[in-house]
Amino acid sequence: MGRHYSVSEGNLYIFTTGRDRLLDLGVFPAELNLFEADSAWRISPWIAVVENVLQKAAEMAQIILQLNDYEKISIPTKIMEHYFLDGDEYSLLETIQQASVEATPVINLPDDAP
Amino acid sequence: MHQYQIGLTASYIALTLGGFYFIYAIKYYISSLLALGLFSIDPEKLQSKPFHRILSLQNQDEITIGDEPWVSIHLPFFNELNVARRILEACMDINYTNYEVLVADDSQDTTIKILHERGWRHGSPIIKFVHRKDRSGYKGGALQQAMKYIHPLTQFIVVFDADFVPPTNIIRQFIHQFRLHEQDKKPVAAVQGYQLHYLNRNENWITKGVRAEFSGSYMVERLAEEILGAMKMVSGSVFMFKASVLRELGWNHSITEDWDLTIRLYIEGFKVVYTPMIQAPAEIPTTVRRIIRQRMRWAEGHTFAVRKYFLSAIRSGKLTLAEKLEFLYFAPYYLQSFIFIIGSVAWIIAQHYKRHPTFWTPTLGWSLVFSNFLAIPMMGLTGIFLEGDLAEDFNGVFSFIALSYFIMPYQAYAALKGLVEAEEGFWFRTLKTGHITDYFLGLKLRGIIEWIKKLRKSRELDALDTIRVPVKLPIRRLLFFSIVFLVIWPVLEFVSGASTGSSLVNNLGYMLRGVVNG
Repeated sequence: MGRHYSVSEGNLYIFTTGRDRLLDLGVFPAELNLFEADSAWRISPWIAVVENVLQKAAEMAQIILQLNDYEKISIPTKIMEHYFLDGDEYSLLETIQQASVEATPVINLPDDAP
Repeated sequence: MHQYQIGLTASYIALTLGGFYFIYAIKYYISSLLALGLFSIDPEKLQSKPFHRILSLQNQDEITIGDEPWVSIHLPFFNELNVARRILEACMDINYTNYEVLVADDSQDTTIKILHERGWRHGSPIIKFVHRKDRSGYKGGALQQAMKYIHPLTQFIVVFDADFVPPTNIIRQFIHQFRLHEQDKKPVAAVQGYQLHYLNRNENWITKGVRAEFSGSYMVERLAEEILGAMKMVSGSVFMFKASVLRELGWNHSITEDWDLTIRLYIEGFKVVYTPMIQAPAEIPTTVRRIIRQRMRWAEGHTFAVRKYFLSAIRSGKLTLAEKLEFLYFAPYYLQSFIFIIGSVAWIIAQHYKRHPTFWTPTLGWSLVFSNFLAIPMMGLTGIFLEGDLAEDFNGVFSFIALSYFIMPYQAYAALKGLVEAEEGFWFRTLKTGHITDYFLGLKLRGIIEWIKKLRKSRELDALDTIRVPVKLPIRRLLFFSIVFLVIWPVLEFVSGASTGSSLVNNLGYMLRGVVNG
């Protein structure tokens, strides 16, 4: 289970896995032009995508997402797009797991450590 | 001499165009007779006929849960504030498991606030929203965009316009039709259902007229086309496509994207199946202005597409003779308005100067006028009779006549525009109000009540209880004989004039006097 977001190729992907439900999109102010009439976006039960987000709007959106307990994660666009199509979590969870392993700091112990 | 030439020329023009229009009229009359005939056949005997599939209903047990192919329902939206929630809720209620609903949204108003509601994100059925920031390619553009985001397992795609209310069993009925035609020599690309323009039929005289018009088109004309194996059109809403075919052909950016796709699929060797047994009620445009804009778009887009694909369709070896004939008939469909106007003006001029060809009897012109004038209204009357609504909706035919003559000049102009312009014009959307005067979720069919009763084994068909038992009046025969008379009257007048130089009425009078006087 998890709440994540990813910025890839200029698109903002907001997604959940497991039983978590997507946040209310009304939390984003209209000024950011994310899910408004003048932007291209997509929503499914488990992922919301905004295409070609402006840098400043993306930064503001990330702050809002973090305030709503969403965690930034780096996922390839192809996997995100596939997740939009069928909601199959398998590939996505695998990538999330891999990303979290990579993000875990490796502690190099000295050679004479007990 | 000058007046003589004008009058004679006008009379020849009137006769040629009247005759041309009469070809259309004959088709409408024959279609009406076929529809009346089909619903007169005993259900038991109908089973053995090759066209029994037209009236076939799906059995509840036919498609089990494990056997359900994946279906993607596409809903093109453009500022659908009044109806968005209604169609989404109807789609959520469909009795099927493996399906998603995909809204192809181009809205620029607060419709998007409805789409943002969290209630649509329960996950069953999956509801996806794909919003574009512009309207490039209009409805075809939006539907093509939606194609990129369908579920990978999708086998069938269904399209509904936003003002429709699909019944719960509609997906199963569509799949049933596909399965019935699995063994056909020609592969079926799409199944078209009946767009039952009904929900606000009692709103005003315009809605009554359009209701009668659509009844004639869907209960009579398309039914006859199906019986005859002719080309049938995919009509913008209430149809199911094989996803593989739609992936291959795609939607074009035409203002009549449905007709454009229809021609292309026939050129590629596919066909469309029509059945009146799949019905989805919808709204009717409520003002003359909206109707005019809608029909001008249809006329322009239709004629433009015909010009674009005419030679490919005619030369294609993949169209059958019946399909090619139907295409030839349908090609100048909206130019009929232009032909009718020119023909009528020529006839008035000819009458004014009293100049006619030798075989032109006084009643030949009138017989053509009456026969042509009443062809489509008779088809509408037949349609609403077969639906069991004649008592309530017969006056819609008068509205339809008034409406059709009112919009005729606009339609003629738009058709001519489509014929000569380099690029298509704009899409003026038809506003949906969400206003309902008559709600109906069942089947509007009178002629096969017994047939349906026999098939009413499943729970879903209980809605058919709402069908009233027909009143036994000789209306069927009355319609039948009126139609036959209207078809043969101009023909007999022509034969009479050409052979004796006198009108049919006069000849019959002479004959009658001869008999009386011995």
